[in-house]
Amino acid sequence: MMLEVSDIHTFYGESRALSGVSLSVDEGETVCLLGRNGAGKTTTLSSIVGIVPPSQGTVHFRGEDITRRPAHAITRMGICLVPEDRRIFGDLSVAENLEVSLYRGPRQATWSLERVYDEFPVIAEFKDRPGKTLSGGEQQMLAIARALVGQPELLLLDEPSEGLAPVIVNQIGRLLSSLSASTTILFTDQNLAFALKHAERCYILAKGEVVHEGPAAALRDNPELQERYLSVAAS
Amino acid sequence: MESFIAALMNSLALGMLLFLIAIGLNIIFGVLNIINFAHGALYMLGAYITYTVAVLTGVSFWIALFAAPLIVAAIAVVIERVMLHRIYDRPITDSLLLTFALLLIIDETVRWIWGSTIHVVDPPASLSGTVRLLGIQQPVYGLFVIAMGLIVGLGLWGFFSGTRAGRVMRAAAIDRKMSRLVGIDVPLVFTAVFAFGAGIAGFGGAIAAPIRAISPAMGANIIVESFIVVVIGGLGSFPGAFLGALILGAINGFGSRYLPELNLVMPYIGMALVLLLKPQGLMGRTAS
Repeated sequence: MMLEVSDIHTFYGESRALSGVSLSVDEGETVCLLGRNGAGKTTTLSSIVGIVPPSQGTVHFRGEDITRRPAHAITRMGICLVPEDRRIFGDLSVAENLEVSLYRGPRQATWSLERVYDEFPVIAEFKDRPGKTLSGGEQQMLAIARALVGQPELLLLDEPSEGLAPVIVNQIGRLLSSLSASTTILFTDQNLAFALKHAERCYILAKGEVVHEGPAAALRDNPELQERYLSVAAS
Repeated sequence: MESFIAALMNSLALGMLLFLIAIGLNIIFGVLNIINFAHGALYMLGAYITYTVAVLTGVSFWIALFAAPLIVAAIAVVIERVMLHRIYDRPITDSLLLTFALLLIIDETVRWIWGSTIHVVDPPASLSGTVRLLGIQQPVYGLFVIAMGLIVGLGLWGFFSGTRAGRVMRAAAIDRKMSRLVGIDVPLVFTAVFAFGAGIAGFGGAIAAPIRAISPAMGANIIVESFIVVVIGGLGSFPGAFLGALILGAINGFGSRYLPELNLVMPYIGMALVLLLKPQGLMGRTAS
């Protein structure tokens, strides 16, 4: 297993966000975390990357216990997160956003700045503009590119399609498909159609617990499950 | 005309000195979100260290100019690692209390080591005397202070816009959480930023040593003026620190010549005007 999350309990202060989440991602897989708002999807990703460390349970990456590692160290190991709110460094230029995120360490680098500019023409075009001047879709592209120059072995995306126009969602979808050929991906989404299209396997979270796990195809054919935990049917 | 030029050069020299203090305050506030009351005390330490290195050991002033900022920065590393780093997640009042306590500690330590009497450092021979410029005799050291301020200002601008370390500091200032998520060791950056800002204050103290009386009061004096600069220019703003320092330098330089009876209140009037007309400071941003 590339990523092994075992029985993690995570709190924000006094309030419990996760009560015993376990999940795993195998090398090369594309896995989706589904669930309603507040089900614990973002918290699960935050616990994996060390932003909100779990108070109980463990997270293993390639067999190594990373539960108490600082977030920057986990990122440098190759777990790179594209956060839900994108969090572009607004006053830094597009190029500077990438430069401060560029991994410089012993792991093999596959995403050079040049490659990013080649594969993301929008980003190359707006290289010198402040990040905050980009549109929502462009910012999402930049957020993904920024994670890629961190040379991810496991790419985490939190709600990559959220709040974007359908055209952009399709673009992000194509990008995800091409990335999944070379990178292991764990993403969350509220858009069931999008999730089922891109994931091989799904977990459903409800109230901080895993309530379902299985291949995407099985979930697609299970309207009852969709209705109970996701409230939106696949179109 | 001659007295105007003399006042102008005075204003510039004073402005550049204030800039060296205010820019460190702003850098530390911008990244760490801490208003460093102890900043004037660090400046004072820079002056005392310069005195010790240059006068007591008989080593040249030039060596002191390098040693003072480095020693102050090293002291700042200890301060940040032992105390400051514990309070970043706490309300800003805690950091005000802590840095104020630091100011008292440094002040008393200075009295304990160097005593309460005034010390004097002579400028090096090459910077003594006067030179004829713009039709009047100018003190060479004043021109040196102006040049140093400009060099540090340009150097900092190049550092923040042109180097990776500078960009990483800006990223950490904008969004700590995201900085961690792109692999930046934020606690390390914070230590570096505090030491960096303190080092500039120490450099300011070294520069000031030959022109200002070195006494335990010099930290308190400059911190009040630096806060006025920061309020006028805008808290956290780089160009604001420069502009504010020039304005306060001009208020003091021209005020002491043309309105000597109002000299003491002029800076406060200037600050009050800015607060009335543009409360976020001339270059400051409205809080979002």
